[in-house]
Amino acid sequence: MPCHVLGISAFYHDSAACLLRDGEIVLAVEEERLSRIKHDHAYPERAIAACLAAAGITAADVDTVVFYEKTLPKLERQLETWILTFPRSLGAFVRGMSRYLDGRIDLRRWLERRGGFRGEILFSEHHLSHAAFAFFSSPYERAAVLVADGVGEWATTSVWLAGPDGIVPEREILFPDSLGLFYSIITAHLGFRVNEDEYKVMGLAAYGKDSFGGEMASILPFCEGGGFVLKRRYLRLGGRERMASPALDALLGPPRAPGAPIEDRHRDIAHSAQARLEQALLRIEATLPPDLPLCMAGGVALNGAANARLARRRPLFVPFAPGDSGAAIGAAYVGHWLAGSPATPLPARSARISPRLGPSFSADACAAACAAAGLRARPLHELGGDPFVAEQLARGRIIGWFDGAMEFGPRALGGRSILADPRDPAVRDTLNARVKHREPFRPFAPAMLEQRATDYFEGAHPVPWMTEILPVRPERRADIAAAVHVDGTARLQTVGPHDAPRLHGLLRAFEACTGVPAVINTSFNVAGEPIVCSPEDACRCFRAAGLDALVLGDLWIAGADR
Amino acid sequence: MEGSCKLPAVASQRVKLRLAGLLARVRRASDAVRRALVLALLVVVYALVLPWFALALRLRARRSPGFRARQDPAITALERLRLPH
Repeated sequence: MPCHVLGISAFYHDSAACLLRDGEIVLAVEEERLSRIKHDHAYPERAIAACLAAAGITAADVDTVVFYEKTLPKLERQLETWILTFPRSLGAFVRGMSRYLDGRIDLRRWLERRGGFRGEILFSEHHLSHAAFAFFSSPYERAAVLVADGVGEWATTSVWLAGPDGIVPEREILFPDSLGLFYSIITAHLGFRVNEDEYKVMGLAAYGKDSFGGEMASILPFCEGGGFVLKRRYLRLGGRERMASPALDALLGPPRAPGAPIEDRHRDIAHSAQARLEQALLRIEATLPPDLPLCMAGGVALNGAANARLARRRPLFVPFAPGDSGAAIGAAYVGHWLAGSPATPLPARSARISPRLGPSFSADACAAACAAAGLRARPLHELGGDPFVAEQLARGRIIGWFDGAMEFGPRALGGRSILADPRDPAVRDTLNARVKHREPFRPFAPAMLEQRATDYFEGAHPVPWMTEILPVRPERRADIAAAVHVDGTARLQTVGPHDAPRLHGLLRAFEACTGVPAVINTSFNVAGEPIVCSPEDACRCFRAAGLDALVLGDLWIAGADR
Repeated sequence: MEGSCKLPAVASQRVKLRLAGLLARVRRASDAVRRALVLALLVVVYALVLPWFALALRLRARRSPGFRARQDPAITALERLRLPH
């Protein structure tokens, strides 16, 4: 009988589920892709159902369910926060406690009742789930693991040592001293949404200069051994409103209202905050055992600019979903590989894990979705296959690309992408204004043939999941002008023949057409919506986003046929 | 003396009956009423209990900043993983 382990992350943001059968991932999917609610934090009912359906089993057949964090220490931390912020926390207390009182305070029984599970129910620690995902999906036999996020139960930053004997904690920093919270209060101060728009701060940082370095040092002073403190007076917890305190406004100047024009001061604040975050991470890195590679996870590991600086110091592995959704995969790994270790021999990690872990759809399902949406589809192979798509891209068409299984994680990596020609800088504005409806300062990423990356990027190495932002060689910037950020960098995705075979073929065809081995690759969605999952979502998004064409498996749908 | 012993017993019986009646009414009440009741109870708890804990927490010694060592090789032991804490 195969052994099924289900990992679940839920109730904060980015709920997800992952099912392992004998240690191999059957399916992993974020709830938002199925519920169509961005960053959906609800119990991942649809994601769990999709996992069980993919394995052909029922909830009662699951041997072990692993929840991604310990519920009671988290409640304890929330209670302490509410108490310390009395009486401002009244609303948060009533809302939070009401949720617990619906039975979730005893999550084991709640899961048995709600999910129908009959097997063992386990609770991993939040940072252990992150660390397990990062280490078990890495190619390393031994590694130091750094987890940094807003907060889990109590830990906000933790260092682990991982090897054939398992994963053990070494040291940690506790709430509210947190790099994630530091970045979040700056995000709030700059008028962006916390837990959602942090990457906008990173994008904005490239436009500024480090004129707020002293202020950032007051907010996040460093201490010995790589540690840091987040000064309490700049933090405003417990309320529903913004997390930045009046003291922060006094230090950095008036906060930017959401939607207000962005000034030089805002760019400089973003720049200095990014610089401080990078310094903090580099200081921690300097305290790690020098002979070990580094695996990194937690929401802070989504910061590609910081990752690139760490990768210059030592071999770095960041998984494709370092945030909370990926912790569902980590929780499943904890249940399978670590629970009761060393009884289970740890897996060999020679093959690279693929992020294409989500649902896939048949050609018939694609055709049916087109028909239902009233779209006229033509078989792509009759038009010349992917070389025809490359030709269309070279002519400046912006194309929706739906191929095979959906990616897990925040990046579109060739399964659910919008592709465009990177040579024309105007493409960036067209994409921003017409399709994505997002701020003009935000850059787009290039997907590039892995073997050509060193020709275009300084210090290039395989980064198949867009986890690092690297400098583009000055002489090559014009070739991929639409993908180069104002500071001459780009969030590179290298594409090897095994990463995304069809996208690899398309890139080769595009290179044959244009001499440039890269295309713009951005997620297949419009602002405020999750990345598309099903052919129906793709058809709907194609209609709404004003794309020039859609590739739906082997179908070609031209914009004129909408 | 006999009378004074009987009085609290009768009173407690009355309180028990009244509580049972109240609970029965709550059980029969609509979802909205029960939600409102929970809300009210939470507000009462918040206003009466939390300030004392807040005071205690503020008086408590602050922990030292930065990293703290954590030796916990049993973190993945099955018995530990079974616990929600």
